[in-house]
Amino acid sequence: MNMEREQESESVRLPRLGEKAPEFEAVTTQGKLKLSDFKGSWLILFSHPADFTPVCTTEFIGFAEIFDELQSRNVQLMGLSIDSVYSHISWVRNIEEKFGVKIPFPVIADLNKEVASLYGMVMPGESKTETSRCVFVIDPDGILRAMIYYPLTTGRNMDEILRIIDALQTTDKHHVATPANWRPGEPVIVPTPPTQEAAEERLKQGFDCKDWYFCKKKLDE
Amino acid sequence: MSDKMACISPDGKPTALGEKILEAAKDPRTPEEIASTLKLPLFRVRSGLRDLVEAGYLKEEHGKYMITEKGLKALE
Repeated sequence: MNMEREQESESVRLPRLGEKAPEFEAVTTQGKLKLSDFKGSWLILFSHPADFTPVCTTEFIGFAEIFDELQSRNVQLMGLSIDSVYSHISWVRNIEEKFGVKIPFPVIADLNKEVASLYGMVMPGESKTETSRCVFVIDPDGILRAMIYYPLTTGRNMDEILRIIDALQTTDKHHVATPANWRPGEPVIVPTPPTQEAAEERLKQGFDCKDWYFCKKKLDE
Repeated sequence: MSDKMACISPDGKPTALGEKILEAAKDPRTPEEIASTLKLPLFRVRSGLRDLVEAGYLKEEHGKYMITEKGLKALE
């Protein structure tokens, strides 16, 4: 009975893709922000284990380096860890002083783990006091579109984060899917026909097809 | 009330950012118009407007924000 309760209290609730991202209001390095303040733009909400740690520092520098690329795609960034806002301020100032990199995005001070709990950012098997390296991609309507979870020991790949944004935005604009390792400019996947009739039609539509279910096309940009 | 707000300082007065937003709201404006005028991200403007309304420096009507008497006094 006690073990059951312990397991229950340790269970991690994850948000689900395709559903509204959980709303919150949080103290950040740029004032109090609500998730809904980002309505109309894409948002990458990411967590890091702790301020003043080496892997997180490399990641913050990495996020700052892709910040302009994200802005040009109508994407905002927001970090989070279970640290105070004063710790965040001190750390981002330190990054600017020691590495010459200004951190332009807000960072949530989630001392009570409120946002971390909503998004399942704490993995008790890894750490009960730190958030794992999570990335949540939220679209302009507030829908959660992608999630990536990395362990404490592995820094994230900024290139992949940009690639996911490009892929999702291409999907939304052209109603297509994107294949493995896809990059902008490469052929995209035509959605699989849902009926036998559509499958028969598919091969006559001028796409680059291996078979009725596997067709690619170039996008006219 | 002013705890950790970007536009209201701990003494309850508008911060530099708060004053910029108040200046921009001397005529009734939408958050998008204010963000465009001040070249600020929309999320920051929305957060700032919330702070300033809560402190009584701005009021909101039909999605537009305008400065109050208290707001005008704060800018003097």
